[in-house]
Amino acid sequence: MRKLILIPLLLVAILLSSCDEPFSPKGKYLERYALFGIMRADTNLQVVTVTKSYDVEGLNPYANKKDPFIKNCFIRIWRGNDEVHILRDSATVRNIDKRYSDSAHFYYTNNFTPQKGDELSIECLLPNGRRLKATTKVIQPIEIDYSGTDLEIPVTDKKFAQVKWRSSVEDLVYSPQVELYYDKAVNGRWELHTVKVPMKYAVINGHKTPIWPSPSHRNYVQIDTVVVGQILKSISEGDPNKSHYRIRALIFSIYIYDRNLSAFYSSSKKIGDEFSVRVDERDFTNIDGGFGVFGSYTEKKTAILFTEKYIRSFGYVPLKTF
Amino acid sequence: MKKNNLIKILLLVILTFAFQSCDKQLSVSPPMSPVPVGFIHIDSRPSGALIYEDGRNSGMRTPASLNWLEEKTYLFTLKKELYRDTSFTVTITEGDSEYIFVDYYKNPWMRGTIYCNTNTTGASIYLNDSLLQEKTPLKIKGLIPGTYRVKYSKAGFRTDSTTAIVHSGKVADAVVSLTDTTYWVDFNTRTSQIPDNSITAIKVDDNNVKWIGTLEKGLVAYDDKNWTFYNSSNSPLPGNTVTTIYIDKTNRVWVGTLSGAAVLDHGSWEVFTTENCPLPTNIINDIDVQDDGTYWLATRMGLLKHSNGFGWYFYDSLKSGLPHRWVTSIAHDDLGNMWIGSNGFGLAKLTPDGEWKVYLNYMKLGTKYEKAPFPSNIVSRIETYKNEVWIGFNPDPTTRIGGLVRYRQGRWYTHYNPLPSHIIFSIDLQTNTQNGMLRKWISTYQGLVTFVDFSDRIEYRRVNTPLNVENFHGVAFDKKTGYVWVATYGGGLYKLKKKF
Repeated sequence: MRKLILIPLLLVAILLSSCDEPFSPKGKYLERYALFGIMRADTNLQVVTVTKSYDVEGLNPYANKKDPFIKNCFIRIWRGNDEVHILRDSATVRNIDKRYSDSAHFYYTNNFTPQKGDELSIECLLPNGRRLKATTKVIQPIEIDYSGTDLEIPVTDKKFAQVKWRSSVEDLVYSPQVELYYDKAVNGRWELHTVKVPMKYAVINGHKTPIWPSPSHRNYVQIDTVVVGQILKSISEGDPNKSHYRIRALIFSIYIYDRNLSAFYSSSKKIGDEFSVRVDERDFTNIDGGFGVFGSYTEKKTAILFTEKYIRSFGYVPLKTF
Repeated sequence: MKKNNLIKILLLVILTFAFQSCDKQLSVSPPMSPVPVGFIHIDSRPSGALIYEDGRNSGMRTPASLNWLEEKTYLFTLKKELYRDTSFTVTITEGDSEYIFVDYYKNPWMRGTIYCNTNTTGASIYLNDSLLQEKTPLKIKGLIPGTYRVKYSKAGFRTDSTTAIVHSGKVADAVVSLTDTTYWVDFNTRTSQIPDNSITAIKVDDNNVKWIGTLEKGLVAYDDKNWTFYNSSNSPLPGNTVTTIYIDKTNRVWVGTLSGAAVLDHGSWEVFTTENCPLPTNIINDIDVQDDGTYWLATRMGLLKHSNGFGWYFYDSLKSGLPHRWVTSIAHDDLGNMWIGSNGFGLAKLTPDGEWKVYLNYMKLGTKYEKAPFPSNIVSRIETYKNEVWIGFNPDPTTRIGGLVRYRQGRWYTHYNPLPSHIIFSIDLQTNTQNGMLRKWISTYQGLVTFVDFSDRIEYRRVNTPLNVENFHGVAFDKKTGYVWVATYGGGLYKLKKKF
């Protein structure tokens, strides 16, 4: 009977002590590689970065001060089978991520402009013999949907000006950007100027904060016409010579991410607010042999003009041809 | 017994907990495959062949090493410009190192052929400056692909050359039409130092130097050995478009351009433009110099004369007897008359006494006007010999015909038809002929005509000469050889090796 009493005690002891081992959220460090290459159809300069995973003491990944960039990679980008571009390495002043003290390294080619419909492939041979490979297809540009696009500002019966577009491919991510183009007379000569226009202003923590268009699946962008008026007014603030300003148009630049880039953006973007993360967050990669993304984007521009009366209401000179 | 069973069951439960309760699931990255270590080095002769790996351009050229290759069979293709593609397969195994060398030169299939031929058979062939035993026509086989210079020479023909690009397995043509220099020797930008193939004027001076005016490259002097170039950059010559050349009795070289006139007086230049003399325009159409040194500059806005002791005198159509201010050509005869051609108002004569006579092809009231049997009233060229005047006419909008007219001792002679063209650019009179008779050379838009008597005339055109143009702008006569130097517009200069 005394033995029987010992058994539950043993059971409790095992339950409480046999699994009692220190838990660390860090796994065993494994060296992994990531390639990021976003091909731009609006320039002949293409940039690729290759990095490796790193380990830190403790749990703060930002404790790492050593740039994880991998040097001496042999990177090639193909368009079809015959055209190949071998990327060279370079470095520039680091102005985004200041935690690394040395220059920002990258690989580039300045002789390659992807065209719509191009099938591109990339191969990166790492110094240790491993290869990172990926393919992507440059997306066809979108078409502006003029049935849902305003042609002039001011617009009637609405508080916003809208540009809408359509694409033959679904689930793409679009990143719009809006700029005001205007000329300013300097020493008797007209100089072209641009200023970025937010979608609207919001009051956050008591401060008037611009809300910029962000990448999304939406196939339209709307700009508050009151904001446009404020921007128009601000360009000549303090300058009594309003006739020294010639207003051209509101230029909408829509950057269209290809499938890979859209999937990567969708998988990595935050939702809700800046304090929330997706609990089902997962890494997207199309890099065979590593992580990262190899994608492309194209650009489509369109303009919304201003009525002459509207421009003159600010004292400016309208310019409809540009 | 029951108690023992209970103990056994409890022990089993404990053991199960002991072995299973700590069985935790961990998420780990998939293991990475081992790094392939295959290696191949590919070289070729000649080097620089582009390496295709499994049908895709690797971006590398021979010699090159390809590292870290996977274990498999690769299809490599070497592509080199001018050569056939060379393909081969290589099976890479773990830790294997392969060395491939492709010698293009040893492969007879890589060789090519040049077909050498000339318009006249039996020309000697130089291949990259090495004289071959054989003569044209010839097929040179077994050549390594590349660029070859093929030169041909044959007595009586101008030595000429071409380049042939040999590809593997193909025949490259190196066919050249050699210029027959038995009679005609060509001087153009390809065969000589002459800077422009459009020659606008030519004259030979007393030292037998050929003075050549060009459309865009100024004035050129050629003494049968050396070429000397005068243009607005390296000399006082006011412009590079030469319109006329005149050699005076003292062997001075007068040059008219679209930017003024100049005279080269035994090494010294004097320039005449609107800035330093009463020229109404810098566009000079013609120049004439009389034996007493009086010189005349004909322009499209009047006629300017300079005589020693009197200085400048300007003739225009309002204040003088000049019938039209657009003066196309001017010449003096042995009687001291000045013959002045106009662009639309016929021919004028200014006597040494200062009297004007104007000849038109229609009747016009006035004592100074006289009707003459002209084909038109546009005078293109006037040339004089003693008291004989030769006048070339271009078609005017009314008659649409041009032609040649001679004036001698008050009579007009018009039986100089047909000419190859109605457009006459130049009349040149040759006195140093073998029989001492005056030979006339008429340069037209579509051929060159020469005659002593018009019935025995010779026409030089593309069909009966090696010339590739028919647009003639004048001839001049070599004082040593008696040969004729022929100016063409577009074809350069020719020497006609024939004595007349």
